[in-house]
Amino acid sequence: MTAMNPWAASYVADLEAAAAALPADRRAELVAEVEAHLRHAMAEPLTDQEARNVVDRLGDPRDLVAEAAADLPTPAPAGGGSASEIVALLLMGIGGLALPLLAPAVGVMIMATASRWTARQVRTTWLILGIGGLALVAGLGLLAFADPTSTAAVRAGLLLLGVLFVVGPASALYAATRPRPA
Amino acid sequence: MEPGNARHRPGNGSGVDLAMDRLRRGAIESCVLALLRGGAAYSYDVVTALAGVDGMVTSEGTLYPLLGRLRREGLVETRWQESPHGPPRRYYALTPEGERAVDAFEAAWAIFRCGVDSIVDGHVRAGDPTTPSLEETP
Repeated sequence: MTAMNPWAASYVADLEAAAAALPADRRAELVAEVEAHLRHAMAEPLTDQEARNVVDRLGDPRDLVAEAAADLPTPAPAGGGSASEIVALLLMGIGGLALPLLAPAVGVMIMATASRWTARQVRTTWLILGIGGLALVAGLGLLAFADPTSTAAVRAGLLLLGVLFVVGPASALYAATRPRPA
Repeated sequence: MEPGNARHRPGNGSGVDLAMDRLRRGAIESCVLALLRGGAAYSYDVVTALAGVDGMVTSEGTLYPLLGRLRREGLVETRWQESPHGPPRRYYALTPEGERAVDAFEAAWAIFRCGVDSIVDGHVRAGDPTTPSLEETP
């Protein structure tokens, strides 16, 4: 195969650099197609200006790469986004069993800073924890003020307190099953 | 190619260019499919044929990723064909699904074009109870 025209070679090098972030197969396909285009367009000897025109018409390599990446799923946000996501879920789930309400609350605060979740999803998670808060107040109230000889009242109070341990894992389950933003 | 050709105006922010850019985004994939109605074609010929239509393409290179996407979507298929001059060439052809897609676009485009014309030409006014439906518009 003959050596490429310098304009073409320089364009392919720029394209390869711009395409570094693409998946390997997609990068290889794009570069191969563009190389074939350039070889075809420059099969006949061209003046320097003509060769430049061929390259100019292809457009900015970054535009080609953007087009090639258009239907790729968005990668997880950079900057340790996924680590804070896991911490938030662990605090809500496991933390919700060890330290009900408090650990999940910290988890939701971390959740609110992650781009993985929408503000609406964060509010819903607070709402789930809020149910636990209500259950705590109602359960304690029942145990404190109800007739201690009434087994039904005591059972209901303990049941309400049990809700405390459920809302943490429930909020983690809710958050973990939300689809990632496109 | 003549220099200063109307289709090579990257960075020119004139109103017509901006309008063309928006329209192109919606139509270019269907135009690629429509071009392949004439039979399988070498990717280079597809790209240069589209680029030869004024206003259709600002950057020839972006058509290659577009062809790849159409293939992944199952609208076109490719095969390699030996060439008398140089390495094998990649030919693109419509799949049955691609044919249906371009038929659907053609039907939609006819309605859309009439609708836009009737609005742009001033035949439709806001609050006009006798606004014709798009199908009735000439």
